[in-house]
Amino acid sequence: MFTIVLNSLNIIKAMKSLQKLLVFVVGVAGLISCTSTKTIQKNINASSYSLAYLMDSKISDVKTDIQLAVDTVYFNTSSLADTTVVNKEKGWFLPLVFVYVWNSQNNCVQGKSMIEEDIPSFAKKSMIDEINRSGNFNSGPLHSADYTIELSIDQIEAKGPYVSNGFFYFALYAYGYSYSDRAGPAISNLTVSYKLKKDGQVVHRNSFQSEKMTEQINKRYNNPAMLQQDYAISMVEATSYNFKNVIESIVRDLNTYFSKPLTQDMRF
Amino acid sequence: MTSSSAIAGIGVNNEFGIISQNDFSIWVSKGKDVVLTRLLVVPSIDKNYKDIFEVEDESAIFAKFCFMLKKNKAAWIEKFMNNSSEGLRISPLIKGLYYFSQNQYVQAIMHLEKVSGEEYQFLKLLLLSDCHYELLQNKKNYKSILAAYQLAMDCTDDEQSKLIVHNRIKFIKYH
Repeated sequence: MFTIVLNSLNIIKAMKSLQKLLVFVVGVAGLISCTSTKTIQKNINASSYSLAYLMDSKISDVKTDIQLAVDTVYFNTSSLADTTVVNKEKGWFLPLVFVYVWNSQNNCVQGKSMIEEDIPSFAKKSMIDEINRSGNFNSGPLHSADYTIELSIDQIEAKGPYVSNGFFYFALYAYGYSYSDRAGPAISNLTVSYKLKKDGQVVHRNSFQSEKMTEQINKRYNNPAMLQQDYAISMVEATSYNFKNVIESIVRDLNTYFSKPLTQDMRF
Repeated sequence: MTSSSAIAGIGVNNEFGIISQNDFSIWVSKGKDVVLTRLLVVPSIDKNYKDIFEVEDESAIFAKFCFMLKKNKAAWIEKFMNNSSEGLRISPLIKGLYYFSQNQYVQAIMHLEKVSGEEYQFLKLLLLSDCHYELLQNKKNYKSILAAYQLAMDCTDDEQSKLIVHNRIKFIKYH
């Protein structure tokens, strides 16, 4: 009788131990399995990064007397969300008895929170800097300039994938796991149109678009948060590249316009 | 001239590497990833450094001195700095590079600002920018020193030099 009771107690004890082990295993699997979209979003939105870039266009050696002022920069604030959003596109979690496998595919869409600068102010300053550098004309104050230019940021976006996958296994008192997170490449797009005005009349207009894929950085990541942070930096870097590209194109276009006889002003 | 491709720091400064223009060209043509490696590209590096006290040509002296920094030949560096670095036209550059290799950026700036002449202008401006960046209390506030890197960028037409400056900005943004 005593032996039977003892055995029953042992079985209950063993079951309790197994229950604890299972809770532990599921807990660990949960902890290391797919990085949640909320976590990715939180890490990506944790800091903002600068659009600042170095100019490398050819410095103009001939400046005419033409003065151009950068007037308004139109930017539809609704074209870019306030914060970066991470959406789960698809994902699965396969809880087998001793093995757990997961895969999660997310899409990151850049928001204003990722960018340090006020976008219209940045565009305006970059435009003035580029005119002073590669323009064959000068930037000047609004009240006395021969021409004014209005910029419109028609499209600004950067989005790309974030994938995490891995597996976890255990065999009673031994367990192991492997996981990996991959970010990117994201694609950044920027479209800026402009109107060149003389005495309030539009004399020339054009639109430029730039697309840039984020570059892979050869860096070892000890945790996904670092990867997510660098992913955000790479998105801002691609957007910065697009600003540089588009603004250089606008100044080149203006150089071409001003190099033609002024009679063409009448065409508009 | 050496063609060693290992980046082992400059003196005791392990944040940067020093490499000859020739080796850098080879690296780039082979597609070696140098994006997040802060390199100082010097005209040449000469591993036969032991005759540095007998050489008169300043570019040859500089090539040998660069090798000593690359391999951190501390005793030779000290001996050269104590005896022979004065009186040379490139003395401010050598001293600037020496202090840079010792992580003493304020002293490095003092000497680098005295470097004149076209030949080492890009290296001077790049080193000055790096010194200013290293002296930043908060590396996140790097926008204040972008103008210094812009100066370096604008003083060269060489595409590889421009690549080096672009890579510096990448390094700064990712750190």
